Amino acid sequence: MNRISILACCAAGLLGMAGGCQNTVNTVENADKSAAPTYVNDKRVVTDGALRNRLAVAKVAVGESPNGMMVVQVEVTNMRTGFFSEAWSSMTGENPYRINYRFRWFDEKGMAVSGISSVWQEKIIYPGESAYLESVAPSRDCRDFLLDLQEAE
Amino acid sequence: MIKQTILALAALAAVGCGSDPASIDTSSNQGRIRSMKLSPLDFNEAAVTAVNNMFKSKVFSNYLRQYETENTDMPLLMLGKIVNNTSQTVNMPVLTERITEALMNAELVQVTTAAAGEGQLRDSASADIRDLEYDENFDQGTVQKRGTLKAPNLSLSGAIIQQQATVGRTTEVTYFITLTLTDNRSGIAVWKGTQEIGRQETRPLIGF
Repeated sequence: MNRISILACCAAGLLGMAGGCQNTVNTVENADKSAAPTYVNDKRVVTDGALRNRLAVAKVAVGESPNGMMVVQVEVTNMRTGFFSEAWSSMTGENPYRINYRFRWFDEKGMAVSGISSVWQEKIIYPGESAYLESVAPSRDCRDFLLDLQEAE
Repeated sequence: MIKQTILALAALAAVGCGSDPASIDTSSNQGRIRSMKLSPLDFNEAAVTAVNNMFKSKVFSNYLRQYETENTDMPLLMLGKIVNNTSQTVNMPVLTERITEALMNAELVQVTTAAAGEGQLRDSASADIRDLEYDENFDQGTVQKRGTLKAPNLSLSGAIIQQQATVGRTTEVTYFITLTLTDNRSGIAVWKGTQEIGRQETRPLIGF
């Protein structure tokens, strides 16, 4: 067996391994939506470009809890799909993708409201999967929010 | 000589591996310890999820609205017993105090410290100071009268349950944290929430 054959076998083996590592999420949903969520414009500050590319922030919806507290729901999608991205995340042990997030809340005067909702939480998201990061304001006085996102170690 | 030098260098390296105590950000989970046991991080996350779900619960909200129409104050919450069905010691206030803080700060409930279930924090002072009525050294006009403590009408109870499965060298532990808010007047639950926390580890083939 010459060198080219050995390399071809190795490449085929690697392809097979990478193919076996594929564990992405396919989704199906109703095309004609009946819900009418209230989406808000968002302002983003990106300091981690890798996280921005791997985790797409799609929509930011706000609502109100039955107790009159503001509720925010941020839809994020793990974009680490496709052969190279999948192979790399499998090799680096980053599949499924783990992120940390926390919401911070501000009252009508713009002052941060401390509370248990401001602790970091971990979320596991599979490639191709959408997750909904949600928080309820710690009091009825809260008007604004800030979502922090980071890759988990 | 070479062997002694290598041993000395190894010893020096081992000494250099330590670190001095340093403050950590307890609100963050980066670099924090996660093991097969429940950690403070797990309780933080469980409390956040429970509080979010309580705030969003229509049943609990209906209860609060009904209570408001019949009373002039907020319901009085008592921390009941959280049963620990795990193999580890759990200080329940680590979980429950954060939840009650959030409910209190959101102005949804009042919290009694005069009565509490087993394992929860109870302030015995409310009862103790009433015994001062027998102490001549105290101005009896300032001693709290008996029969003025308010009885709770809402209680938080629950359980932490551990389930374990092992296949070969892999062990999986799942903890279920289940909490219930009960309307003590009727005994009907006005909120229930269960969270699962899973851990899995595989032992190395050789060693520990």
